[in-house]
Amino acid sequence: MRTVVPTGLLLIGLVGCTNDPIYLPSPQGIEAGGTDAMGERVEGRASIQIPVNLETTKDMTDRNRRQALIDPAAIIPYIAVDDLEVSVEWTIKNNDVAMPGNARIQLNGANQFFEYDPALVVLSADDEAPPSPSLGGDIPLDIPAGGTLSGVFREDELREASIDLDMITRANVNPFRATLVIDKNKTEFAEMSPLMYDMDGEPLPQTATGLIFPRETFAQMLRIDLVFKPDRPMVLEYTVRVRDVRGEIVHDLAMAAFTDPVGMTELQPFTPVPFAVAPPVPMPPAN
Amino acid sequence: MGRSALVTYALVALCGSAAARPASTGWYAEGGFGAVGFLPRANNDAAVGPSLGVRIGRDLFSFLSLGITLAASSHEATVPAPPEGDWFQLYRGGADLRITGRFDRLALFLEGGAGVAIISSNVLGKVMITEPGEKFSIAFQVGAGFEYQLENRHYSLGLGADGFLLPQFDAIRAIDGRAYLRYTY
Repeated sequence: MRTVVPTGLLLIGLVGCTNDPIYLPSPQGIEAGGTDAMGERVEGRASIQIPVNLETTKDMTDRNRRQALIDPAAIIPYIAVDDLEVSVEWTIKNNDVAMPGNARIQLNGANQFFEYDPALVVLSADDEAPPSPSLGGDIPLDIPAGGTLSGVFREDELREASIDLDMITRANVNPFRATLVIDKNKTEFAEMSPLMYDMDGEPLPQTATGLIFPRETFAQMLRIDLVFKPDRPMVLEYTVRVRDVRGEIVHDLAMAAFTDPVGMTELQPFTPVPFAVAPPVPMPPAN
Repeated sequence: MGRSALVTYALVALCGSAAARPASTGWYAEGGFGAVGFLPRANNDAAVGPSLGVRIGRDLFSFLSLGITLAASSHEATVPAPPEGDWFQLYRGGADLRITGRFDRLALFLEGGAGVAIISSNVLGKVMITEPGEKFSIAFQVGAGFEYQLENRHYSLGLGADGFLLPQFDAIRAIDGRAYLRYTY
């Protein structure tokens, strides 16, 4: 009995010390799958930004100290991969009670430096070339008539997407290479030369520039962008689940921080730059 | 008049311990496990979950003791999906008073107290049980149970049930049922 009480207290203490999740629910479901005036299926888009506290002086000092030890071109972000563990739980409801349907959920997003939208990334001038890949998802899902389907983008998938986003935007890695190779356990990646195109608008081979990004410089995705593409009217609801591994990064008020008068002043502003790549427009032949 | 006399006799009987099996009094510690289940309407949003608790305190008299309790329980959030299959933890700590009446090797008790509760996540925010940023609540609890005194005067086994109320968490109410081992020093 003399050991039961201390053991019990220790167990309760340990349970209480684990990093507990914070849930960021979608404000409303994404309705999509109807047809527009041209008869095209309407896709739904939604974004959720993780409410991040202002960087403290202590954190900034520590970040600057670590930055001084590595190449200054490899900037250490305020929120790095492994500081947060993020997952996205979703549920699709098929509003058509007569016919089963099919849907895709495309996962994209932004870190503090860049945002990635595959629609802005053109890797070939060839009209028949495959579209640029998303950072995750885009898998056909079957939803029964009038039924629902639930799923999750796991923490490791979001970690992979974060690293892919950083590799594509800051290190010029070809998006197909970044998304098709498993990078989530990488300890570093190398910057490649900027994407160049041949006369036919096809990408040329790239070479490493010598700049190395160590893992502590990998930027965490801080905005989750979802593109919902059903083939009939459906509703997507989702919740972003965040575990604050480093601690005191995510605002206590969660999504309410964006509307709370005090909370708004405590949020770190981010202005990611849209990442866009396209082959040069061919010059018209001279007459 | 008859009713008050009956209550008086019952109290005297409860507090009488002359024929009871020998039981230590003084500082004591309890450790146990059980389950916590929420009462309507929160029972739609949180499932019954396992609990673990400890209680330490001192017998002020043979029939009255003061204690502090720590308890933790884990529950599946059954809010409308998503999220689905996620769990949260509820931690409770507080002080309570226990009135005990002993009948040989059995002892019956009533207890009540107040303290604080902490919820581990905002998953119940979806159903407005917690407000944004809210993690703490005052906790009130009352309960009852019985103990079986073992041959060794230091040890007893007990079963108890406490109902608790968390006003800040949309006044959710729950029942904590537990089995425990008590050691009195």
